[in-house]
Parts: sequence; structure tokens; C-alpha cells
Amino acid sequence: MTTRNAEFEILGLSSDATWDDIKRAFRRLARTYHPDVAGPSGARKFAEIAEAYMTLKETVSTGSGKVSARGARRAGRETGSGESLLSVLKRFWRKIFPRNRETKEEYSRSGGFSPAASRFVGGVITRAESDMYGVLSRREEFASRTRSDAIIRRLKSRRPAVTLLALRQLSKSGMNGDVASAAVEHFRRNRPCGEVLEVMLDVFANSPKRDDIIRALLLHAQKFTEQEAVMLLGRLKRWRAKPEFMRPFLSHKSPAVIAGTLSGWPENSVSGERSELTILLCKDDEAILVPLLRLLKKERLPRWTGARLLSLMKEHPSAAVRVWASAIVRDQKLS
Amino acid sequence: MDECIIGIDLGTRYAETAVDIPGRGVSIIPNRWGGNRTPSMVGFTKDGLVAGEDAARLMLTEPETVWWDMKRHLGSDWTARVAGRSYSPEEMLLPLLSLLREDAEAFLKTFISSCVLAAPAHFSFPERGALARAARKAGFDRVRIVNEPTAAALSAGIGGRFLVMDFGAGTLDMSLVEGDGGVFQVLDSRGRRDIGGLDIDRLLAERLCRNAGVPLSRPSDPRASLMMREAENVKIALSGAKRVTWRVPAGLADDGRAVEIDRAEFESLIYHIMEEILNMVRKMWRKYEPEKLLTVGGSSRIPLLRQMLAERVREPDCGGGSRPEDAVVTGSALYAHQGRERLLIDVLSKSLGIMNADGQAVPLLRKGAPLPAQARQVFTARGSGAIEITVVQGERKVRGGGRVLQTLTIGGVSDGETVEVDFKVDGGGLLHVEVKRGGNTSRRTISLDFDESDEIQCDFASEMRIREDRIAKLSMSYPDNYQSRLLDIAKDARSLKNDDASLQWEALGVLDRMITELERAAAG
Repeated sequence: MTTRNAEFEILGLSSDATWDDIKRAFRRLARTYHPDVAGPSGARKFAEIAEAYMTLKETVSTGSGKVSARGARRAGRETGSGESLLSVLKRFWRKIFPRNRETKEEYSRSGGFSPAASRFVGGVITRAESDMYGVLSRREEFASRTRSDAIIRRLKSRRPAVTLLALRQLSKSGMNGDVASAAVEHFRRNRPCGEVLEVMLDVFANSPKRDDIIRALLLHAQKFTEQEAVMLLGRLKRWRAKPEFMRPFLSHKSPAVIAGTLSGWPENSVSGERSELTILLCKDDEAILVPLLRLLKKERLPRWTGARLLSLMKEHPSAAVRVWASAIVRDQKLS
Repeated sequence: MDECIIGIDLGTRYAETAVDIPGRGVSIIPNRWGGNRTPSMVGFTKDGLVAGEDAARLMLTEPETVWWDMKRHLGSDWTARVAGRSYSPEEMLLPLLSLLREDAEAFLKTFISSCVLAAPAHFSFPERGALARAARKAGFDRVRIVNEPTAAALSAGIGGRFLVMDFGAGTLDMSLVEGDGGVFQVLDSRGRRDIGGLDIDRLLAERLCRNAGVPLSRPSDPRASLMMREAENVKIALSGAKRVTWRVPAGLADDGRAVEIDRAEFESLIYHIMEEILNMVRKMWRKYEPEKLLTVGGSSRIPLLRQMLAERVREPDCGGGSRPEDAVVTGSALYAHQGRERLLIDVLSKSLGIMNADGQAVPLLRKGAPLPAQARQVFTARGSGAIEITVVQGERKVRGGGRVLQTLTIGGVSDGETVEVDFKVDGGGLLHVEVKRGGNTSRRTISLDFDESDEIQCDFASEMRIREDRIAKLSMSYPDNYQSRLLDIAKDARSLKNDDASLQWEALGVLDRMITELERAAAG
């Protein structure tokens, strides 16, 4: 009976409590000590309450009134949840304490710290310091690796909305090499669209991997929509990208993209790409021809262009094209 | 918005996700196809794995590449063999769970790394472990499990004593819950894994085929899965209409024939299943005499079932006016924010024990114990070698009773060495096993392989306290400069309190090594 009184006490009840009282008390206490409310620190207390509740439950039949006196608890269970962490710690203490006391007596007998002992202790401490330093220095690495893993996983998502989330996160927190390589690899295979492309360009604007990502994007150059390609070209112009990065857009299906490419073309690197450019003389759009002619003005042009330039000068509906063509014809003395 | 935790109801047939935003209540998260319910299917294409509607579409053309019953095989050795590779049920769930996570991320516009997963009440420890592991692999760092009928009880949020019956596509689960001022305590739960809506579909499909004169195809036939879908639609239609005309689709017969089926015929077909369910409900009813009956799950819409329950047990209640299909996912989302004002206490549905030397199961945690629960057992080695501990789940105390979950082997023990084994079952019925050995110094944590989180959260604060006390004891006899260096090391170690568990263990290891050496030196 005494053992069972302890259970009543844990639940804050007197020993004449009914089963309903027990349940109510258990729930009231659970509300305070359940680990979901009190955090991990409540776990031990909750286990104690639950144990008391279970013990009392076993002695009653559900729904009956008073707790019956039969079924006293088995006494002296050696193991199980009854043993609290505290008692384990105490046992620990008892084990190590006497030895420590002996140690101290030994030291006092030997008259304190000998130089040899001091050297040894110093060595042990120094090693522990450097080990601990090693652990601490890996801390940031650990944290950033978990972060990068989460971002890379999302970057690779098939849903643009999720990729976008990852990129937004990157634009806030910055990017490390692993993430950048993963992004380059991902966008090499999958063409980014619309907003994803825009945010990605922002993220990579100042990254050392910028050229890598541009190369990956150029694999999809022909597939970008007009709007996407124009935006991309705008960035390339701002970054003063090499002409080789702009070249794939010269064969884009939209005249506006070609015009954009030409207007952003660096003037000092025309000769290298002369053949690519002169081919474009066959196009008819004013938007393409005007910047093209401006770029080609100082170049030596192949012989076949003469006839085309003359026809542009005479027949093209746009006055601007006619003026530029005639200027080139005059300069190069084609007539 | 701080961290979002989503609730996932991973059903046999459909999966759903929901989120509980404080102040705005629970909202169901739509998937990328605009619907609320995502088919729990995974299909194999040459581009990789697809899930959800994509897999459902694949099901109509190449059913042999589509799987949808992974959940039933969790925790077993079952594998799906596709293109020379075999996939475990966990791996099969991966694309589905990732899909759910991504849809939720796209909807909520934030990263999601925590979830509450609903699992059938009758799931065993290995099954729960496998489910949690699959979710962890799919990018959920923190996973909690909740029992499906229990979650449904939480969503209804009613007081008093009530029985929850969750009748879904694959399972039948029941929980007896007592609500008392915001605390929901589960008193008992049980379930059957062999009764579900799919069995009804199968029966109906057979009958429809016979009536229409269409040859019944083998399960591997593409037409069988088409037929199951048709049967499901007819079943749902029969819940509303008294009479349904089924037009045989082109895939099964080309002449566009149609057959009629009325509700009476359907009901006679499924009567024996309903009778069985009713028996289970009545058994629970007699034992606990609850006040209300709550029915959730899509299959609980069947009019015959509702009628039989109303006549012989109690008028069923859907709870809170929400759709019976959504109850579980709503409850899971709510469970994510449980605290003082809404607290759910589940029970251990099967007792957990270890096998003693006579081959009898000795229970450590008894059936019906409130969760979370923990038990500690201390083993003493007789002779050096290894200690073997067999963990058993189940009730019977006879020799060989209960189901053996796993045998833990702790090797390299010396004669008389004691080993402490902590068994912890968390609030959702996930089992963690922790082994502490080697007296004072080395503490090793291992876990059963169905809960693979090797880095079980160590109680870092208390572990540190033990070591700090010993360092303080040691340093008393040291000169000042050594004392302050020792305290600095301890301070460094303490600063790791919010870091990764593996780092914490490492720091504790550094301290242990140092303390052992110093103590040994001090002892001479």
C-alpha cells in the first residue's frame, strides 16, 4: 500500500481518489510536463507521471469507481523506467569520488606538483586544446554544408517555383563553390525560364563562376524566348562579356534578339567575327541592318557584299539603311 | 513567417498535405495539377521516376511500370524490380514525398524541412522507422509520426469520449480518444490492414465485368488498372445516386455497351465487409462505451456503412463539418503545433520488450503506456565477449511469443561490465535505442537499423555537466594557469550546444580523452 501511495503523491492526489480523478490529474500534469510543451527537460518528469498513471491503471478496471486495493505493485523492480537519470548520475559519482580523494591525498603526500607531472599535464591540456580547436573550426563547415545541401536539392527541382525559392535564398545568403557548381550543372541540362533566369543572373552577377554559368546558358541560346534572350543580352552587355558569349544569339530566330546582339557588340572585336557578321547582310530588317552596317563600316568586306550593299543603298525601304549603306559604299569605293 | 511544418497524409490511394498557419487555421495545399489529392503512385519512365498524376496517367498505358502499394510493403524485404534495378519501398516513396514537399514549397514560398507524417495505427516499429527514413531522404530533416485515427480526432477537436474510425483505401483503423479541455488522450487503438476501399473496388470491378460480359483481366493487364479506376468512380457515384449506368470504356470493349447497377446490388456485394467492420466497432464500443462515433476516410462515405452504424451502434459524426477525406491531414497539420492549448497523448499500441535467456518476452514498455515513454535496462556481461539483446514487440509471454524486431549485439565487453540500454518511444511511436557502456568514460549511441538517425540527439547539457564536474575536481590540485586553460576548454565545448550532434559527440570525446589521461596520471 505504501508503494501505491507514492504514485498518488506523484499525481498530487490523496489515496482515496477515483479513477476519473487519476485520469484528470494525469492530463493536467501532462499539460505542463509533456515534452511537446515543456521541451526535452520535461521528459523525465513526464515519464514519472506516466509510470505512476500506468501503475494505478493496472490496479483498476476501466470505468469502475474507486481504485481497488488488489494488485499491489511488484516491489523492488530492478530495472525499467523507474530508475531516474539522477540516480544513475549518483551511482557514477560514488564510483569516481573515492578515487579522486585518494588522488588528492597522494598529491599532498608528495608535497604538491612535481615538475614531471606538471609537464605531463601541460602536454595533455595542450593536445586537448588543439583537438577542441579542430572541432570548433569544423563547426561553420558543418552548418554551411547542411545549408548548401538543402539549397542544392531545391535548385535541382523540376518545379521552377522551387528552383526560384532556392535562388532567392542564395541571393540573400550568398553562394559557395559547391552550390555554384551544382547550379551550373543543373542549368546546363535544364533551361531556366523567365523569372528563374532573371534571379539567377542576379545571383551570379558577382560570382567567380559567372563565365561558367553563361556557357551553360548559351547551350540553350536558340531556345530562349525573345524576352528572355533580350534580358540576357542586356546583362552580357553590362558585364562586358566576350563576343564569343554573344555569337550564339546571332542565329536566334527573332530579329529583335539579333538586333540587340549587334547593338551590344564591342566595336573593337568586329574583325574576329567578320564572316559571322557579314552573313547577316542578307537579312532585311531595318533593326538588324542599321547596327550591322555601323559595325561593318570600318571593316574590309569580302567582294560578294558589294552587290548587296548597292542594292540596299538603292532599294531598301528604310532611309537609315540607305544612308548607312551609301556611306559604306562611298568609304570602300565599291561603286 | 517562421518555419512551416506541413502535415502529410500518405494514404494508400491518395496523398494530401496541409499546413496550419497560426491565426489563419489549416489550409490544404494544392498540388501542381491544381487538385488537393495527389495519387500515391510512382512510375518509372526512361527519364527517371515520376509520381502523382504523371504516374497515374502512366498507369493507363503502361501499368507494369507503376507502383502504388509501397506503403503496405514498408519495413519488409519487398522490392520493385525495374530495368535491372531493384527499389525498396522507401526508395519508391521518395519521389512521391519529394513531390509533396516541392508542391508545398511552391505554395508556401518557403523552404520546408519538417513534417508530420500520418501512419496507420497498426504500423509496427520497423514500418514507422522506414516511413520516417523515407521522409528524411526526401528532404525533411525533422520528421514526426502521428497515428492516422488519432490525427483525425485532433482535427475534430471535440470533447468527451469518442471512437474514431478511419476507413481508407487500404486500411481500417480505430482509436478510442478521450478529449478533456484541450488534452486528447488515446486510450486504445487497433487496426486491420486487410480491409480497405480497394477491396470494395475489386469486388465491384468483378461484378461489373461479369454483368457487362467483359472478360476479367489479370492484374498485370493494363485493363485491370483501368477497370479498378472505373469501379472506383462507379462506387463513388453510387454513394450519391440510387442507380448508376456504367458505360464500358473503349479500352475494355469496343461496342460502347453499358450496364446498370443499382445500390441494392452493390450493397449485397459488400455486405460481408461491412459486417466485419461493424463487429470491430461493436467490440470497441462495448469495451469502452464512448459517447460519439467519428468516421473519417473516403470509404466511410458508403451509405450502407453509415446506415448500419446508425442502426446498430450510433449515428456517425463527420466532425467539424470538414470532408471525411481531409480529417487526417488536417489533424496532422494541427499536430505540428501541439502545445498547452491542444495536446495529444497517444499510446503504445503493442508492448515492447526484450527476450530473456529462456526465450520469453519480458515487457519493458507495456501496451497502453502514454507516449513518449522510455525504459532503461542494465545488462551485465557474464564472461567476456558480446552481449546479445533481442528486441521483441507484442504481448504474449510464452516462449517465442511476440515478434522479434532485431537483435542488438554489443561486442567487446569484458566480464562483469555493465551496459545500459535505453529504449525510447517518441510521441509518434518511433523507437530509439541508445546503448551506454564503458562505465564513466566512453558513451556510445547506437540505434536499431530501422531508425537510422545515428546521431540521436544527445542530451548535451547533462553530458557536459558530468564532465565539467570532473574537470573542476581535477583542476583543484592544479596551478592557476592550468586551471584556467581547463575551464576554457570546457567553455569551448559548451559553446557547441546548438550544433550538430556529431560535433557534440566529438567534443565530448576530446574531453573524455583528456579527463582519462589526467585522472590516470593523478592516480599514479
